[in-house]
Amino acid sequence: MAEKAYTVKLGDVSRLLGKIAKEKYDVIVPTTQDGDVLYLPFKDGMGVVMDHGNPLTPPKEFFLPQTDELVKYKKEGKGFKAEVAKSSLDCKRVLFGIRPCDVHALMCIDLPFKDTYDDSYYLQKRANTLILAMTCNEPGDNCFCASMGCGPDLDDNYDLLFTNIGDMLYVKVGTDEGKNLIDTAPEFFDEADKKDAKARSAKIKEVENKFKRKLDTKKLGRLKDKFDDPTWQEMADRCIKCGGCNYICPSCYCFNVVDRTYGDDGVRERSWDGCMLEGFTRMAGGANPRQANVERMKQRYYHKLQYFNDRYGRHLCVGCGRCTDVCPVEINMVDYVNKIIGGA
Amino acid sequence: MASEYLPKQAEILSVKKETADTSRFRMKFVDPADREAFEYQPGQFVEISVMGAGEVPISITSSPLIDKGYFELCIRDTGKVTREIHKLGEGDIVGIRGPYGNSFDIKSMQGKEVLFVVGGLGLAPLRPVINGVVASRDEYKGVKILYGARTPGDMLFNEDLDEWSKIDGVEVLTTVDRADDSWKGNVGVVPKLFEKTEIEPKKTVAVICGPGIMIKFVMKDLLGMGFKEKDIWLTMERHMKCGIGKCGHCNIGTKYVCIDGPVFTFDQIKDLPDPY
Amino acid sequence: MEKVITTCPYCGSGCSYFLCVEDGKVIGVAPNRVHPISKGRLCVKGWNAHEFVHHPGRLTKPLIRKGGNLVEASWDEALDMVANRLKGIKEKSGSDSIGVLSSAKCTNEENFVMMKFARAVIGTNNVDHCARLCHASTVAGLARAFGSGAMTNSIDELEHADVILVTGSNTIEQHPLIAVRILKAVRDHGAKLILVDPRSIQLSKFAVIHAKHKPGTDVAWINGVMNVIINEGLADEEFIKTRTEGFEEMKKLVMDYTPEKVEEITTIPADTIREIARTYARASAASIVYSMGITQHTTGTDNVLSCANLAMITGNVGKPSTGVNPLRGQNNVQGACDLGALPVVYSGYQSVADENVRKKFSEAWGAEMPSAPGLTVVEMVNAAADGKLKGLYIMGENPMLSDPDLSHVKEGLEKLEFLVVQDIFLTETAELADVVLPAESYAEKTGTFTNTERRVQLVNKAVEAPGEARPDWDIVSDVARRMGYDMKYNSAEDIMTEINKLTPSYTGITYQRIRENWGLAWPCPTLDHPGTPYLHKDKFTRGLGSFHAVPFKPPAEETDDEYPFILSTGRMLEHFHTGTMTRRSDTLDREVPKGFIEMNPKDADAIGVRNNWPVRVTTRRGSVVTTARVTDGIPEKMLFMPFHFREAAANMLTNPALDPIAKIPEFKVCAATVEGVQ
Ligand SMILES: Cc1cc2nc3c(=O)[nH]c(=O)nc-3n(C[C@H](O)[C@H](O)[C@H](O)COP(=O)(O)OP(=O)(O)OC[C@H]3O[C@@H](n4cnc5c(N)ncnc54)[C@H](O)[C@@H]3O)c2cc1C
Ligand code: SF4
Ligand code: SF4
Ligand code: SF4
Ligand code: FES
Repeated sequence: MAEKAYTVKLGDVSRLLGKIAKEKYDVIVPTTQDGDVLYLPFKDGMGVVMDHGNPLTPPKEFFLPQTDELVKYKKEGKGFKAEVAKSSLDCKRVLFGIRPCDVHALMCIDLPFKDTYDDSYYLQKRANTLILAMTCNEPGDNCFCASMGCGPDLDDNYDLLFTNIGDMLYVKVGTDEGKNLIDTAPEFFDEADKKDAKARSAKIKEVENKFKRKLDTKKLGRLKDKFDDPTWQEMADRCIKCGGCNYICPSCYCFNVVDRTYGDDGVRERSWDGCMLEGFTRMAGGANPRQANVERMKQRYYHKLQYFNDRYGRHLCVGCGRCTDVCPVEINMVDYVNKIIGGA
Repeated sequence: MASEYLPKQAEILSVKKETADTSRFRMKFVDPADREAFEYQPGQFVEISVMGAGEVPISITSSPLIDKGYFELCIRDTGKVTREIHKLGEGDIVGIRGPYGNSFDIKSMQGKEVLFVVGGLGLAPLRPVINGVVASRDEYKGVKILYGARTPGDMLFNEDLDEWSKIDGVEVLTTVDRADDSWKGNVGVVPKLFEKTEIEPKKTVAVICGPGIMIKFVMKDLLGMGFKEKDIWLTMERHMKCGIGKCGHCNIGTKYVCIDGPVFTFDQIKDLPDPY
Repeated sequence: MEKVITTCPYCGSGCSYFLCVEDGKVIGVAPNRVHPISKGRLCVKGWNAHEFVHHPGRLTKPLIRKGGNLVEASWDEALDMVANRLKGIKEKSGSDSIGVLSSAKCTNEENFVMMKFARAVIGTNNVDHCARLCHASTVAGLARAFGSGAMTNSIDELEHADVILVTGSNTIEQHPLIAVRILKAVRDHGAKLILVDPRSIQLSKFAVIHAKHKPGTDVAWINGVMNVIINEGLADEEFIKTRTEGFEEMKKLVMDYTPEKVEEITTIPADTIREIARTYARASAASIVYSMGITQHTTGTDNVLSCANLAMITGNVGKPSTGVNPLRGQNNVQGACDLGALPVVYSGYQSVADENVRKKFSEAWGAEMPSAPGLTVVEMVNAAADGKLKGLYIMGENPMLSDPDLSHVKEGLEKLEFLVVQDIFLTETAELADVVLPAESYAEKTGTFTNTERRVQLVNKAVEAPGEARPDWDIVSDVARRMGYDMKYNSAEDIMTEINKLTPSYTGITYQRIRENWGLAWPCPTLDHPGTPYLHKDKFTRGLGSFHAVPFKPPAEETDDEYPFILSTGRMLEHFHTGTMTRRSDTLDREVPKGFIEMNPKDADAIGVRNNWPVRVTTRRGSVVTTARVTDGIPEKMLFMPFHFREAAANMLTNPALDPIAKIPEFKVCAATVEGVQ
């Protein structure tokens, strides 16, 4: 859309978000706490970090929380009463600073969560959250979003898109809701001129050349003939089965469901689960189709880079590099996959 | 907010013990509107829950043609949730979601002989399929039911097996892994029953359900006999949580067993990484 | 959403992460990339360390036994009862008829308060905790050899060792975030890993040498390795001369342990012994890593002394990336020892036998300090069974699963006149108590844990406690006050101030400093001291390092025709200790829902058992039914069983025979037999 573009001074961002938060929105921002960058609800006076590497814990925690209540129940006599837990988001929320890769990750999760049945808990949070995305200026050591077509720029699926072009943010408008947001605080926005637009393009170009890692995506098709490649075993031998690569992945969406009863009242809740864990596929009696760690390792990689694409037409990996960051034994996704597919 | 995860209440009408660890639960929805809305096909399953213990997928073993006003589940006590279900009896309320999953397209089998190869609890999901086929027996070339259980005491649905065997053109063969004194029939694994009957692979559709290891051997034999891959139907079992294609537990390759299955023809799954 | 930084309550690695809090509940865990140990990474236990916090089984009210049943009571009623009963026993039978078990799960502050309670309020040195069961021999052995019973070097240094000798530690499963340093050293820095372990474990795949010795023969193989080092001129003469004493005597003994003789004892081929000796001795920085495979023997102290010998003979102490590194099992087992929850020392290992020390504590605490050494964990159980110990106050420990020979433990606990158990769940031990007091979990309180590399780190309150649960230190000081002793603290930090005053090695460790530095490693004697990442730099803590001549002694119980298998017990990745927390974590309990016993396929064949089939395991103490896990990772005639599972409690079977010095039981070797069951 040939929308107008704007700029915001870096120094104004905190006040801008403060004003938005005073309107009807909850605002979530990247901020520093205990030395690391995290997404947290914005509070007055909170430092919003703008030139940061991506937070390790991905924003999926606000759409598919690590633990989320599904159903509340009460045991009564021979039966029970049950109702939908109020874990859904009924107010509007603004997520500021989300990176292009993580926006793509939400687009990934949208697909299964709309497939055949709607996952209303997730979809409601999606619908009620405005995406104020921010393009990346500093790819992390393990980032490869550019290889996956998921960064460093973002084409759509945002309400507003910011780019840090020095002492100001360049703002692209993606939706009417995004434009409305600007209209609630017009005093912070200036109209962008050609020079600003140029600065933005130059910035994106510059970042594109900064990636240290590239996944040879053209050769990913070879994976289907690599099921018996010995590298999988090499990776499995190293893996300490922490599940971290699943938990931390912005596009991993698998969950477990458990009941917790306190007296007569209880809650059925779901929590992040992962295909790297042995119990994920074990069935009653002990039979397990993916008993060996190497089978689980393959499931994760093939699901990410082949199966999901075959079903939904896009890869389930956005190249954020978190699974490598979080892996205690440093199983580097790009290095190993390139090795397997004979990539660069 | 509407939620596909919210279970509906169903009351247990009766419990019939089938074997030492398996019982058949007859139930109906408490709310007439739920009863009305509950339409299912042979091969589909429900998610049944006991609040506090959890939720598990169970095939519907009743038949939409025969069983009106109620439905039936045949459940083996194998773990946390199923153990709790077995503690329940008449009048107790459970949670039900569904029906979920696809079903057997028995119309497509018309004109052919239908060969059921079944092990143990596998008879529960196939029972409505068999009932569906024998209900219009004339549309099919013939029906063969090969059924094996661990011991004679583990045989399910003995009355049904009896009834079916009385129908013209329906052949029922049974076997057990381990016999006892009362058993006069066949002893050995299910594939051994292939020797006891005539099978014309070109004119037959095979429907298989049983433990993974049985399926593996049966598949080998059927393919060896010359069955076409698309003429072999099977149901797959996987660890499940949501039943609606979200939680990822039942994912194999490009498929979710819960929404794309549990019923597959062999050509649909033969390229999956670890089908059984 | 709020994120509260804290320290993991499980193993001694000491990882840190954020607890994610929503509406007053912890809903998850978020790693922190700048923490020096975890670096944004965690093991599966850490990733799920929020799950047990709101478990429905949490204790929320005090319980009192009435008419045989535990029923809810008010704090006043429960605490008055505890105070009165303990006072009564003290008056009637004397202070030493009461014992106190402190906890390696609780904070430093709580351990300090508990040991103060034992000594100043009860007036006994009968205070101990489950360090007795894992690393008592480390504390005893390394104190004798080096003067300080802790890990000599820091975790990160492992990455830069060029030889790492791991023995008696299934490091990947038990200390995952330490193991990853070993894997990194091997893959990225070309380090050589030597593994001496009877079983094939995940580390085996990365080892240049994996020697499988017969369990219980550690002294022999180490003597053999030293024999080769001496004979081949690989010893560090300079180091031996300037930094140590006792070498000649040890040399004399070791000369008998030729590789061939050692092969006979240990089954490790003589050439492998030589290879280990050469690889280890030629390294420029070689690190020994061990854990309970070394300590949990009747010869535990001997084994530890042998490790110290080996490090000293090659000069691998007091330098970066070298040393003798015992990996402590629990989150705060190091701290519980440091803070004096031991029968012979006060905080900072200040000896009870030392009159000046006693005087210092008497003055500080306004009570006469007892001088007789106290009883250890297993001795307390024995004393209870003999009727000599009459009252026992247990804080956050579960001897009914963790101690050897559980039938005997039960007998002892049941004989007590009064048992009070303070915990977060109704444990197997709490079920036997007269009074049960509900405590706060790590997510609900503030305090410090000291990890295995002596790093003191903060635990921060993230949520409110369930029901009426209170912090352990608060409960203990309340009991003290009700017994007429003035013990009052306003916060955990308040207690740390007292620790600073009375404990030289912790003097410089304040909350503010550890908050700013991600912890500090003791010794940290002053407020501007940077902490001590590795010990014994130019001088051993005790002055000269001391060699010990240690002859090989067989385990207390050897196999025979009736009990032809060696049974070893231990831990696994997904579960922790007695499972009080991990078995109440949905994810972890799903991962490994039941106990098992590992056995070799040949042995399984011989008794007609297949993988996953039920088996009965029997020793002279008892018998349990569990599931067979058939694997060729375990040698023939050996069995291995994790002890986390109450339904298949390994400690029904273990031998309570003790190491004579450290009083640690022999969990790693006993004679057993196994059979299939229908
Ligand atoms: C499509 C389908 C149809 C089924 N039909 C029947 C039937 O008609 N009768 C019957 O007795 N059983 C049936 N099962 C198997 C039944 O679901 C399991 O026996 C049951 O889930 C075991 O749960 P548990 O809690 O008792 O056992 P646990 O071992 O305690 O299992 C814990 C959890 O793991 C999951 N899980 C474990 N095993 C299985 C499994 N085999 N399949 C799916 N999820 C599992 C469940 O979420 C379960 O709650 C069916 C399974 C599937 C997938
Ligand atoms: S698989 Fe790894 S790189 Fe890809 S999206 Fe997930 S965490 Fe990021
Ligand atoms: S993060 Fe690494 S160690 Fe953990 S499960 Fe994934 S691959 Fe394995
Ligand atoms: S259990 Fe140990 S390795 Fe695992 S996260 Fe906790 S401290 Fe780290
Ligand atoms: S059971 Fe959840 S995706 Fe199939």
